[in-house]
Amino acid sequence: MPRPIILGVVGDSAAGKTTMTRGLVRILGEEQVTAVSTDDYHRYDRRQRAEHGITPLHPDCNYVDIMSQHLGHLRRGEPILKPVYVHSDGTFGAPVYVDPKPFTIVEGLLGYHSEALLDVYDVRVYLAPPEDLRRRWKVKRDTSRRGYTTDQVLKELDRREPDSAQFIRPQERYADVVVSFREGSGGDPQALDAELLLRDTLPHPDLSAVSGGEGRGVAVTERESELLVAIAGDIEHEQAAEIEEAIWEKLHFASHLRSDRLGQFIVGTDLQRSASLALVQLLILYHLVTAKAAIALGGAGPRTDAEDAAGASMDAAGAAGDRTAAQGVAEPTAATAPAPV
Amino acid sequence: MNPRPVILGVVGDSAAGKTTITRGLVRVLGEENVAHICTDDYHRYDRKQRAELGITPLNPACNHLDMIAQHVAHLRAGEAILKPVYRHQDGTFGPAIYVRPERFTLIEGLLGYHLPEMREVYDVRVYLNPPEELRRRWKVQRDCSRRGYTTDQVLAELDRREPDSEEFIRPQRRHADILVSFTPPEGAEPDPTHLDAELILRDGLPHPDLTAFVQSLDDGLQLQERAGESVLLIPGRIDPDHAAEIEEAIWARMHFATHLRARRLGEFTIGTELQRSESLALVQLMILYQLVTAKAAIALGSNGFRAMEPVAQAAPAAGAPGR
Repeated sequence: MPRPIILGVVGDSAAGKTTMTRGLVRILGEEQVTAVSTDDYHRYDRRQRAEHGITPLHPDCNYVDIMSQHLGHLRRGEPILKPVYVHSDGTFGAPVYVDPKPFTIVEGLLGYHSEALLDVYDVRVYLAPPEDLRRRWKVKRDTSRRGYTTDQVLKELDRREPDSAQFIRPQERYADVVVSFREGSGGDPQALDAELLLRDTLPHPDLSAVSGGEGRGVAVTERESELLVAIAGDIEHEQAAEIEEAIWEKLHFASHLRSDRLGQFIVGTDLQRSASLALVQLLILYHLVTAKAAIALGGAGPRTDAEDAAGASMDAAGAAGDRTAAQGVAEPTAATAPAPV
Repeated sequence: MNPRPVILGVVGDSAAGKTTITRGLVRVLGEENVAHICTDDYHRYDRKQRAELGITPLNPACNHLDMIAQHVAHLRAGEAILKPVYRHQDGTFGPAIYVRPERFTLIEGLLGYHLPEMREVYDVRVYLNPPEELRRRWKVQRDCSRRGYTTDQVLAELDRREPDSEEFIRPQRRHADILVSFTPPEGAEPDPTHLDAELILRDGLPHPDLTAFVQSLDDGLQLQERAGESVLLIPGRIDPDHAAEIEEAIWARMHFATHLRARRLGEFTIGTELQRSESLALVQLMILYQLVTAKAAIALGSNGFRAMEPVAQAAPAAGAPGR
């Protein structure tokens, strides 16, 4: 079996990580995906955190070294004994044996905190909703599903803010894709605008053919070493379908994955659908399946900013140098550009 | 960077005396210098599941052996691990705990030498091989007093486990550098403080030369050379003064580790009583010798006596006595 593809989905608490990954898992198939939450790597349980006055956002509150050790094993196709953090009561359970599947999706707070961690991913996504929207999402989730009161959640958000600023948000700079869902004019959760920052650390699909023009729902702006893609929440159904079609066409070797289940999310117990969410997920899916194809063909992976981090020795210092050196590279090289784009 | 930890394996069947042997070593090396891993923590099934599946913990399929190999390799490389925890009191698993590599790592358990990739990891491999009837007596004693079983339960369990002992545990003897058998002297009532110790010292490691101490007395040290190994017999009735002389000679070869000297080897407990055995002390010292010479060799830049890479330096480092 070729080595698994590793996707990182990093962002602050309630930034939408689970919503984003759930759709991807559904499309790829549960049996194809190893889902790892870095919350499992907390050093302290809820009671200990309260005693120590430490938030889970602090690197000292997490076994960051073990995270990269374990993800390195999964990337090499080796199993791990994964720790288990139980959110419902804030304690740890018995570790579980995890066999690597074709895709590993790593979701969590500090996924890009160390050099050793950064080297593990084929695709790095960071979720950066505006703070007021994230606060609202967190209140909604933690009061409905984790048994807190609104006041408790708001206080906790304030208590965490210094760590968010110091440890979480700086990770944005390491992402290949930065996703910001924002409220559109209507304020409808099914019609959030999506703003995507596509960095040239990965070869992205060319969206110029489907964007632009009067009244179009997608706007692409080129900037130095990155593309800014704005997807309107109220994008016309036909146009969204057209773009999806164009991306699926580039994924012709993965047509068995085609499904209309992208973009689904849950409000309370209601299943809803968002066209902008579907497009964002499809773009990430594009990177996963092209990375998979590239590796199946014997390549190292899609990244343009690392020679090959797959080796057993993850030389943190060396990889850091590579990354710095590659920041200015504007175009993917032939060796790393996978399928016909 | 610190030199990599020295890895000791102590393998043997249930109640073969693993904890007794290692406890003295840990005491001498210092708790803070030893990372202690019990491979029971890597059971795949808890007690209830094992009963349902009809599988014994001696069966490789009942253990995450691949994870033992993975974790020990990390410790050997000087990296921390998150170790699973099996609780003998109730037969369930607890949360994983973070284990840092210390100067010495001690792996104790049933199947430590089962996989080739596990065997490569050790600097010193000890296997405990008491006669079966003595081991059965030890197991009944321990499991009734400390694990809450009845004598009948323990005996029935021993019988149930015998096929797996035969198939999976005892064959590991061939991989040991030091094979230890404590046996009651012939004809005598078994006195736990005066058990004979038979050591098979395999040529894979350079053992200290004790020929000067061999005596043709009933209670004297005996040494027998065989192909690829030598057999050292330490009588349980050895004269304490003679034992002290031998200990002295072994310590003299470890002059670089004199800070470890302590008269605490050979201690063990029966119930809550602390006892002492001269033969146990000598066995522990022979193992300790291997640990500190391996440590010295690594500190001097060698990869230890048993290199993980086939191309590593074959010659023992300076300061390590040959046979």
